Amino acid sequence: MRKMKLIKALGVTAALVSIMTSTAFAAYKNWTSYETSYVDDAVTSDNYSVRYTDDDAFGVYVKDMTMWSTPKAKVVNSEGASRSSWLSLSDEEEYLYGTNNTCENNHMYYLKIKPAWNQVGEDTIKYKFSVR
Amino acid sequence: MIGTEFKRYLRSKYIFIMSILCLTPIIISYYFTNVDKVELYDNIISNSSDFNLDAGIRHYEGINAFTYLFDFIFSPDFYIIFVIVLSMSLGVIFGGTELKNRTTGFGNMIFSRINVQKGNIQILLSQIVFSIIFIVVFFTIITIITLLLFPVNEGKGFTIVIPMQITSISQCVYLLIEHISKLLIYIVSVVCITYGISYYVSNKYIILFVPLIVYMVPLFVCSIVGSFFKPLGNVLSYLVADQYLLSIYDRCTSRNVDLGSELILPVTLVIIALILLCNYCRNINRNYL
Repeated sequence: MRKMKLIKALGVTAALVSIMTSTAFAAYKNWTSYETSYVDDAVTSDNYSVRYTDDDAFGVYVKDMTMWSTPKAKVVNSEGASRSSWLSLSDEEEYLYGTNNTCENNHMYYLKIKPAWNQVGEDTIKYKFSVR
Repeated sequence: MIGTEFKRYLRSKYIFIMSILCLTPIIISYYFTNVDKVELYDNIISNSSDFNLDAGIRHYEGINAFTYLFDFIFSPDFYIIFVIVLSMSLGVIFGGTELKNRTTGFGNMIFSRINVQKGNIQILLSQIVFSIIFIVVFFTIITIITLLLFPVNEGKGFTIVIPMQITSISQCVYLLIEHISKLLIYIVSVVCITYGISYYVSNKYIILFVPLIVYMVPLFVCSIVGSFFKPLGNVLSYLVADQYLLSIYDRCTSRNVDLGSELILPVTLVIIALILLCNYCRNINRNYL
């Protein structure tokens, strides 16, 4: 009986932590709206995100992707110069955190996506991002 | 007999070729990491208004051996190619052994009916031990060489591809050990499956490709089924090796532990290997002599 209560308590705690973590990240105000891009070669987003914090991370949320390979994304400025490390977009409907963000506050940044080596054909990805 | 078989694999000419082939994706990955490092340096000296100079300098100073290593092992591009090359190379070295032994009546090794099963298990064990030792030694040498080429400055934050605050070598070594353990489980399962399945496939060229088939078939099935019925595709995606082998990276970037990624593939491979090996032992006992 006591063991069951403990297991239930652990389960509820784990669920709460996951929800709180994703909610905390989702609550950031500068997410772009959803955008769908064809990814047969490296593409840059039409939408931009403005940075407001000094956080080392940036976020990408993939709503849907038709490829079963793993494309990569990174933050770039309007001229395509890199402003972060690459982030592998391996999961759908999950907030993913990239790192090594070198964006400056109050500037606009875009997301560059490139296909994986084992992507066959033209596939699309629907996503939003935030440079925080 | 384990020692004899192990020495035979050690003296095989394919080890050198396998090492060179496994080294190739690592060198290419290191090259691209170096390109990113040069790009970061160019950004620092460019004095661009939209570039955070403090963060840039901090990241540049944090680039060390583990930047290069983790860029490789957490990359779905290079690491998966490395795994495919490694498993196919092991398939080339081991793949024909069982078929050759069986068709030549085990050559100079005299087995009675009661210990032919034991003899086969010893051959398989020697293959497993060789695989484990090769992978561990290979990664140890790569790590040491990388540490010598790109020294680590502890105390500064490490610039690595996963969003974790890392400031010590021991944290990186722990991640490396966990990552290599997953690779070992995968490779050992593939070696066992290749050995067990060779009883049913009497063509040594097809046996050589079994490790590649073990990787590619779930990927194709997942892609085809997923294009018609996505929920089933999502379930089948747990059988794709990338999900399991790169689960540490996925765990860090999504800040979620997906137990399916950690468990489903290794458990499935172990069950398949056990079934094939049990059937193999039963059939070889019954049909020997």
